[in-house]
Amino acid sequence: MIGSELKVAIAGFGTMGKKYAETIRRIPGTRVTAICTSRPESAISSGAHEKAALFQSYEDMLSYGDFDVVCITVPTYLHKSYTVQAAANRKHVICEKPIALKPEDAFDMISTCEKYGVRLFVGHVLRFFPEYRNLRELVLNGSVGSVGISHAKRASACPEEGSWFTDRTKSGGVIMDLMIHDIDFMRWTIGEAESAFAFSRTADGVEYASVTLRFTNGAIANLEAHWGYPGPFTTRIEITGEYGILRNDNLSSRSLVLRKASTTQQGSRGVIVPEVTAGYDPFWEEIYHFLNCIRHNDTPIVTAEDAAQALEIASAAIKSAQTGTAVRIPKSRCLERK
Amino acid sequence: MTRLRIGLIGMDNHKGEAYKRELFNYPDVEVIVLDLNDELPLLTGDLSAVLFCIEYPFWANLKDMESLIQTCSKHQVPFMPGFPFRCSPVAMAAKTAVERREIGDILAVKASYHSAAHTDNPQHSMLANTVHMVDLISWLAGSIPQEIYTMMADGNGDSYAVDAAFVYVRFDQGVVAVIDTGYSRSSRFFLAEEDIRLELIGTDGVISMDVFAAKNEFYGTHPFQVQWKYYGDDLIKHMIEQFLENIRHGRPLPVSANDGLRAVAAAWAAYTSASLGQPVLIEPIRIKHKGQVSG
Repeated sequence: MIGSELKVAIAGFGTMGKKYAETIRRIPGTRVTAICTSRPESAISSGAHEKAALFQSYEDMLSYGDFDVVCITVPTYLHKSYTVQAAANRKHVICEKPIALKPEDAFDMISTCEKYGVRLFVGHVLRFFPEYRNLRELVLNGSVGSVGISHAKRASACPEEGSWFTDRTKSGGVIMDLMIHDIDFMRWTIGEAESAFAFSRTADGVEYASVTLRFTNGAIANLEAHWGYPGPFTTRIEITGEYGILRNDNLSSRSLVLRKASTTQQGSRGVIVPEVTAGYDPFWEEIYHFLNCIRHNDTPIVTAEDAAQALEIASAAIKSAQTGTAVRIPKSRCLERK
Repeated sequence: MTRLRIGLIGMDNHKGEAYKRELFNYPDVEVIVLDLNDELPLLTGDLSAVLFCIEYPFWANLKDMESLIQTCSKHQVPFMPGFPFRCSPVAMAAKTAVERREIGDILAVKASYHSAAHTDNPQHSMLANTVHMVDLISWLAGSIPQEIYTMMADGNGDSYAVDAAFVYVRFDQGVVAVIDTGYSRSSRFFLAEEDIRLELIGTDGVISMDVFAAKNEFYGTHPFQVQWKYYGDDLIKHMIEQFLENIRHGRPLPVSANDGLRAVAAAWAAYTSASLGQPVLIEPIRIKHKGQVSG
């Protein structure tokens, strides 16, 4: 496969599906050959994939089969069945985060992909954001000494009314869908988390969650995720150690800001994908990296097992919010096997 | 103008010193420095009011504070715990916005009270910082703290992190607050002594407060340096001004004795929770203080 063209199919053509398609178009040696969506007109109007075959049924797309990789950008509750079917058809899988809603589903996905000898990647794109990579490098090279107390925040508009995001049985809610980014990043940067204490509050158009993780090395971190935040998409992170503090705020580190004289109500609800104004595009880097891992059989920066452990942490946090007590975080069976 | 005799308790720390310096600016005010145990019962009779530096109970306990308040109450002496934050213009503006229901109902609060470790109490950031934040949040949300859960960091040998902790406070009416109370702003690496932020998350909006945001940045050579120059309000000045103003007009003091007791009880409960590893209910406050209005 080295050096040859990689053909990619996209299952699901909502916000993320379109983002994947638009990104893959800019990756040399890669082509979108098939798109599966319940709304084919939106795929056509995007103009990016005139040459891709359109399918309304996933099974039909899999039978068509003219691709090496499937990007799964359907609602989270469908990740498992889509992945398992793709694997059975010997297709590699790039699945949007979170890997699944239940840890046992993640285990099934990983073991099925192994069984059929295909690769499984999960799009924890935060690991490709330059500000977060830079923070992690500073932590790892000892700039702040041993880490004590940390914070992360991710605040966004509320998903549109009636969308699958607002249905917890489909998206897992704000911890599973939004906070999972910071959960994975903190684990990648600080180490394994052993327990979670959480609460969440909801109101019409608002879902707010606060989760404190305790790590095996004694560090603690408080993570906030907020749907229904009235301001612009906001991310903040602070890592404090014995020798110093690292912090980043996306709103105070923008190189370009456009403000228009008249604003409308548009965009007050919806799924926000962070805007990229730098030459470096984390989404491009992520997909490019995953495709290269397929080409060269490399280990990715974020493994499916990492995604499975992030899911364990998110699940423990949700359980804590429901019970009001601290919940121990189990080690994913996927990691145990390694 | 009648002279005011102000009893000041808590002179063994920098906050108490700052209160005294500010009171000295008023020519009609006489400051009587009091000790918690001995002198007070003898002197209370002719005091206009007692100002209690809340940092004092680093080594006192809740019972000492209760008996002090009871003594004041017996002698009809108004008693005020020193909570400068809620007396600041920024907090008052936030309170007005909450009362106007600009953000609807408050669902949750995220707060950070970060300071440098002070030499007069190197190991009790949680106590020192929790009292202020619990009071500020109670006052802003109009709620009473009921339950505390503490999650502490450990494994850091360095003293700044001895008390590094998240303190969760559950208030009546369902508001939940999480407070970072760590001494993480060491002067060895941070440019300000205190870094205090608070975010109120409501059903219809969010209020973000950064108490010391009013600062200029200075970058210089000779020698190379970076500094933040705070130019915002003097919080202690505002608090003392309101304190004296209310005494003169016979009005209730800006902070009640019970507010102070509640906040201190919450801070001690944070330690109990840390040692038990479980949520702890805050003891209800029993005292009815009669001396709120100057006689």
